[in-house]
Amino acid sequence: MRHWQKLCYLFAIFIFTFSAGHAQAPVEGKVIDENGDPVPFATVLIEGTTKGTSTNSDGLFRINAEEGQTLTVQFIGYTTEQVKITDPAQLIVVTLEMTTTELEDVVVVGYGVQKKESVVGSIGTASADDIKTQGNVNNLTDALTGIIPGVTVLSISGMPGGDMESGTKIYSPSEILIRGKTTWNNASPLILVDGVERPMNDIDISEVASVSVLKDASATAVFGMKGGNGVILITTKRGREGKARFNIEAETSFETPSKMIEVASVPESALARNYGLERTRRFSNAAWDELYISDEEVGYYRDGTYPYAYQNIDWQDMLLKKFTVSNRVNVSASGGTDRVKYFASSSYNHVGDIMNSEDLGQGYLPSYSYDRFNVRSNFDFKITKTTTLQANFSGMYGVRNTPPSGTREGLFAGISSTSGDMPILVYEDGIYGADDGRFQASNPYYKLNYMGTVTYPRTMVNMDYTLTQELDFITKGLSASGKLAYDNTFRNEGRSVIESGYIRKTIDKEFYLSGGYYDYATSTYMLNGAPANMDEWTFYDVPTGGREGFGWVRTPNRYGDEEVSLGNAERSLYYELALRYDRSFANHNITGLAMFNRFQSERGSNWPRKREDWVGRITYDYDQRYFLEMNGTYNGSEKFGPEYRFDFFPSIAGGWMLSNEQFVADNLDWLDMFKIRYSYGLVGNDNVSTGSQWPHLTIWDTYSFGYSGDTYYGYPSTYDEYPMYNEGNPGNPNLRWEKARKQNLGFDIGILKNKVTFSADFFDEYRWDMLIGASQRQNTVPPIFGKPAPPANIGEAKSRGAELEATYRNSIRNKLNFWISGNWTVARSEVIYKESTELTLPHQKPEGKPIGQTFTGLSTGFIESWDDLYCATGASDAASNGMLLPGDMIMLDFNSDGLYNGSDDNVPYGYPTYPQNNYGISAGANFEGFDLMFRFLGAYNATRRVNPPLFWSDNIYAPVVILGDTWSPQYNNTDPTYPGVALNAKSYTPTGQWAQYDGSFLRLQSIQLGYTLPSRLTDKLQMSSVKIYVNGRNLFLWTNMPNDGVGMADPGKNYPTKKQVNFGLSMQF
Amino acid sequence: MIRNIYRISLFFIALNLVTGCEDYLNIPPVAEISEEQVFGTYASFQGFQDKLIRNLVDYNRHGARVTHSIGGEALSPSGQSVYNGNIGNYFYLLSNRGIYAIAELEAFKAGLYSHMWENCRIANLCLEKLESGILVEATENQRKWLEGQALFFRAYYHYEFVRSFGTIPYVDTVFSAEDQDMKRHWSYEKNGTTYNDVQAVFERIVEDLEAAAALLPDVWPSPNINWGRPTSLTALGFKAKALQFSASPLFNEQANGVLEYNTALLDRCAVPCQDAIDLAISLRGTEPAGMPGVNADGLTEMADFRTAFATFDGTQPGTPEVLFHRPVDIYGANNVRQSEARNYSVRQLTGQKAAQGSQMYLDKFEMKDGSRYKFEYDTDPVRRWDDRDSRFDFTFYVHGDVIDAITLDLSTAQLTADGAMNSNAIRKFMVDGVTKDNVGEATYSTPLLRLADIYLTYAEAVFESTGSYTAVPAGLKLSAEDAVNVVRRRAGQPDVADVLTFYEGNPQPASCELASDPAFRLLYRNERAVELAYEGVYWFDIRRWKRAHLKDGVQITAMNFDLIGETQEIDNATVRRVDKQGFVFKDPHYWMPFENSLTRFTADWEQNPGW
Repeated sequence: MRHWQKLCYLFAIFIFTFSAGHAQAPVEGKVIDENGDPVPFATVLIEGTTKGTSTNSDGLFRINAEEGQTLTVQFIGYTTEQVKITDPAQLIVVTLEMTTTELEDVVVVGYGVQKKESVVGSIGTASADDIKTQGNVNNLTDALTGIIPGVTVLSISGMPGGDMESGTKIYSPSEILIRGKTTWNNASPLILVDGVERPMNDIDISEVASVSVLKDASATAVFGMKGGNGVILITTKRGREGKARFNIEAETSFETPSKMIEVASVPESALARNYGLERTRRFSNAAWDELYISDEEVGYYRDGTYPYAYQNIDWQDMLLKKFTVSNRVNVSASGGTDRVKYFASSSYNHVGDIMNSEDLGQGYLPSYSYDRFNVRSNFDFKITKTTTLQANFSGMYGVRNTPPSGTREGLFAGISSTSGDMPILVYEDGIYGADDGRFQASNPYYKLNYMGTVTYPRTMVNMDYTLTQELDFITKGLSASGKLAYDNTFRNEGRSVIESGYIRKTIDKEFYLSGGYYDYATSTYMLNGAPANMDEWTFYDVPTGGREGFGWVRTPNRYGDEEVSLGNAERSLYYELALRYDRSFANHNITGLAMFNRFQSERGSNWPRKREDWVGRITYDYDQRYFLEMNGTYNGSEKFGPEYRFDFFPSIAGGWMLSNEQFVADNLDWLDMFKIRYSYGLVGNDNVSTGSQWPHLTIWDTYSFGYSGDTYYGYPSTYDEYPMYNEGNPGNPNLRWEKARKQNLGFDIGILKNKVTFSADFFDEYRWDMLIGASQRQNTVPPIFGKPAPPANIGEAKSRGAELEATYRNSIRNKLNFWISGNWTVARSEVIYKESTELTLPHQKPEGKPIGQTFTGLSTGFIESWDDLYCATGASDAASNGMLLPGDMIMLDFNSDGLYNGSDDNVPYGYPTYPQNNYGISAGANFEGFDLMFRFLGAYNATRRVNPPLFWSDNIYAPVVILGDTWSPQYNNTDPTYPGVALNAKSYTPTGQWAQYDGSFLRLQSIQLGYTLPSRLTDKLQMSSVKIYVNGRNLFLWTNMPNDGVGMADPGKNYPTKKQVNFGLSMQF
Repeated sequence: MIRNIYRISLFFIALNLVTGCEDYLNIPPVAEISEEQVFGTYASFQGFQDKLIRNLVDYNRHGARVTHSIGGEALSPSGQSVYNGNIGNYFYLLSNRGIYAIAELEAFKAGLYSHMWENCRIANLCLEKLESGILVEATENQRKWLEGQALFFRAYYHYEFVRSFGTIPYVDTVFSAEDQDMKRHWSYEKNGTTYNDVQAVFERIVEDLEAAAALLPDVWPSPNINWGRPTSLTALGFKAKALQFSASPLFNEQANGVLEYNTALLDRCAVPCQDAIDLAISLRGTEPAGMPGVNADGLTEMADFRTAFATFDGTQPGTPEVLFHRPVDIYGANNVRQSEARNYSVRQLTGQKAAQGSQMYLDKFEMKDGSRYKFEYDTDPVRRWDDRDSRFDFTFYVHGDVIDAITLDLSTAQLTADGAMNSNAIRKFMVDGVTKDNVGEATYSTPLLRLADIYLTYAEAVFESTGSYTAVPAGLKLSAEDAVNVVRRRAGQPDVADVLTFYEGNPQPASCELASDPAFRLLYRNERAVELAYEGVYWFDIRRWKRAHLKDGVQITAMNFDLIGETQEIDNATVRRVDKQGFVFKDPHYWMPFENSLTRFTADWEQNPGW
């Protein structure tokens, strides 16, 4: 028993002694919960009167009452208890139990909530706390990484505020997969925020109450055609009845780049290029003459004798900060009465730039950063006894800051392909080194900091209203509700500063080698004891746009104002009407749902995209032992023709709670819970790139074409007599749903007073009528068709897998609470049939392989000598064969046609790009206000392509990983996997499977240490809870991959992924 | 209890059966251009069909640095299309720049190959729609014209394709994506004769063209506005060409295994030639207002000849002699510095490194007296360039020519500096005075069919069928000799009778000519090369005759010379022939290869042998 509790008792006894003999003396009491913790703000009423009070923060109350009266104690979320006062002098201790209808035991399902016990579908959940442990993450997708079994987040870019739907060369958006990939079409799940299709990335994580991931058909069938890839339901926090509670959270995190491709130092790379030149001299003597670096010069690189001629810079080091700081602050208030409940929150989020952007006095701060302001207010109004209105308003204003578009790529080239010897960063007199056209290298530091800055604001204003009317007067348990949501998003190009740039220069190396130097005292370049005529030695790069004449004058900065681009404005409108039924008859519990909804969204002045659903659900359980659930959706999609437009997607699921059977309860008292669930159902997918909004129709449109006119007949000049009509993509009137039949068998087991819980899900999916988009069919329909072929339903695939999760939780003397949990999931897909051409080679047919299978040419060894060379498999053309050298790979001629040719001889290799297996281990404990948790996340059976350039444009950029793998006598690699180093002149250098890495990894995804201040301290501060914590995200990574990324190929010049240490403070009062 | 459940279930099911709102997902009517809108009226139907004109390919314009002059008649810097064509790298022509290029930029007016199937689809769609009765607002004539054009273009595009690639299916239906099963090799029976493979295709082409000729107008109403559309004359002309190809040794061999002319087809070829000539002559004076007229033979006078190829004032190139061409809409700087400059030219003139005529092709141009050019004339400053067929001067610029403010320096030193391959620049497609600095509203266009070609086709058909160049076959009006004379007279060259002796047993060295060839054959073939130079004819001719392999391994030569001191005067002693590029032409080169995108689909579509 804690000290303060003892004190309370003493105090109570003290009071009692004083009050003995006074019949009207106040009655004292204490309200605690199951764990013995005090329940503050509980209502205490004297039965039959209006007299009442509420407990203080220690759960204590005092009320004037008489012996024999009954006290009713209630608090939202707990059972209501009644106590008869038998001895007014004695401290009354009332224990409230948590009710099962509270958040903890309720699962958010499609269009509603269900008691956890009666859930028969496969649903994974994450609580607000789970998300919090992920650290300071501004992107909710990334925050889901690893916290729900069966959910995989593929991620490769750490761009602050990136939300572009399709990637660019410097950014790829993170992707979510639920139970792997069973479609070659867009496999992203449907995402609903508070029941409405909305993007989730820009929701502040403090606003999230829970996340439900619906995985099987039973759970997703209500979404029908949208549910094929799984569904993620985000629920935001709502107010609870009671006094106002304020919550303040502040986090500051320090971020550094995660694992990046390591670059060899300049002298080391220079030597490597020399080896490459020696090897490829036969192809280009000119390259040899131009590029060979003497040992003496390599020495200059090494010892820095001439830093302005022979530079040795680590661009990664130069361009990346040691760490950057990101911040997040959230203030929220919640509370309410039985009439109005509210939750209001506002947050500010700043994501810092790990690029070394600096304010160098240009008048602006160039950076990649993201600043976001979120507000949300969720209200629940009780309008009449039977009518409630939920009104949610949320808004977001986010500003992404980047250097202007022209400079971005050059900047990232600095960390991914530009060698450290050039361009010279900055000369002695402060003039930056000029770009080098020969090696396609731009000065990345200059590009980052001197080209200006552009902002991209985006604003989101969302609102939804739900009006619910209980219809008990018709039949008990019936209610009707209507929902209306209207969302707006604006993406603009915001304020910008565009610099025209500064003069930059390149000084001939010879200047320094001839003894030239810069005299800082006189600010002149000196040669042979006299000021040098630098025009002879210098190439000046003058920015365009400057004024020539009497010397060059720099164009002033251009300041751009926000440009409203209405074409990027998005609106969506959703409305639903629903009837719900929830009633128990003795042991029979029945719920029902009937709903109609429509969703319409449009971007700019495009035609709105529309959907329409008719949804029904009936659940029944008998005595909490037998459960039955039927779901169905009658769904429509405008992509399909009238005959195929609507379809019905049903599912059925059943459960049996064995542990509630008398014979189990009687015989197996250690078995607290044993539930078997099974579901079977149909869902669909219409998520395919179709080439047209209405791919079932042939769209007739007009075309325009040509340099100066659109006309093609007439004399003496062309005439424009007739409208130019064109057949758009031909439609496929038979286009219909991609359908998925899913089965799920699950077991939930709890033993030893639920200290050990175990759950297992086995799932199986079969897809047919799979859609193949118009763009994909260009490879399967011969061009003789005469147009891009229409999308069609030509494919079958299956997938199966399992999710296992085991948790052990216990507490020692109610002081040390701890838990440890492990999960493992596997999901393997296989293509049964996919349209391919008659002549597709058997080993390249997709059938029998997972979706997303990696293909590559294979090397079977190295050409070690000229003898080997004449026996090795040749390339498909003479020019390439002429390029073969010892040290090249012997490529496998898989189809035995005598030559290696990627299009014929590429074979399936390794695994798909996304991991087939994921696992996680997490554990946590709390003791005396301290809590500690960590979560490891791992994946295997993935193959990821990472192919860094070597000697990009003949420069001396060389990744360590290549030099470590290369075949070269100089490197004594006993087991090379990469061909001998070579320059661009050797245009044929097959690298076989080298770039395909084992994509397995294990990472310390998150670790958190927190301390909750004891209440005696917090009470003084008038607070109910204060917690400080520190957590880390992605702190350790074990992998064979040369950089950090999951399931995606590098976009090339990529904003690096990050790791983070985060300090946070959370206060409630 | 059970009743309650039953009642409630029924209620929900009933609710779900309400389907009155499915219309919500119908596409908004304003978003849809209906088929009636496209095909309902003559004007809109014609507008849809006009994509077939837009997809035409000008042999000398299409794609930068592209010609189909790959039979050794030109030389280009290495890496360019002509270079690659000369060494038989035909896949390069498919995947990069050439008239058959697959991935061609729209801005360069798209390739024959990439649009072949789209063109067939459009033509067939038009025919289907005409049949369906959807066209309501059109006169009987307008219906005929639409049908005639659809048939014409279907035939034309097949003709363009098949003469390079050999046999293909005749695409006469609108394919569905699921069913395009067609065999490459097939036969066609007509009037008791079975035509195989490529001849079957030509037979279908001829059929369509015959029908088109009957449907199309001789002269379009408002000839100015509709100039460029095919007429009955165009259809007749291509019918003759299709039969000429079908009858030629290469095609006859693919169809029947017989490597010689098919005389039955030659006889059939002469008839539409004669018809076309007669029709052309009868139509004199019906040309669009402002266009130069033609002589009594239907040919453009030499004085107006340039307007058939190029103009300077924004006028559409063309004369009535040009039976078909791709109307142009590119004029001025872009045309000269981008299109023309990447054709056959030198940097001094147009600003880009491009192709030049090969020296052996220049040799085909007779002397003024009709005698053949001899190597020894190379060092003779007069005979070398000046004493030649007037078409030499018409076709080429040579050293010292002054164009506007530019004096051409084609000496070896300058050629090296400019990266040029031979000492000439093509003049045929440039109005005098046009240079990169004097662009005006210059433009050019390559005739896709010219009446002069019909005369020469007629001569070939009659001569190769009858063996006589003087005979006038029954029902026809001209002898082979007469037909050639028509063409020669316009250029001012002596008649065939006067020059035939020069050809007797006198094939050109390293050419596709044989000493055993009759003199008239050498002559008419030479005449074709000279008259139709750089119009995209020669490579087809030497393949058609199956003579191209004779040049395999031959070095394509250039003429080099130095200047005297600092002057612009040629040091005649230094004029020499230089081997520039080996010409490669093996058996596979008789047919263009199909790109993998076609052959990988089905075993029924086999690749041409050797590719």
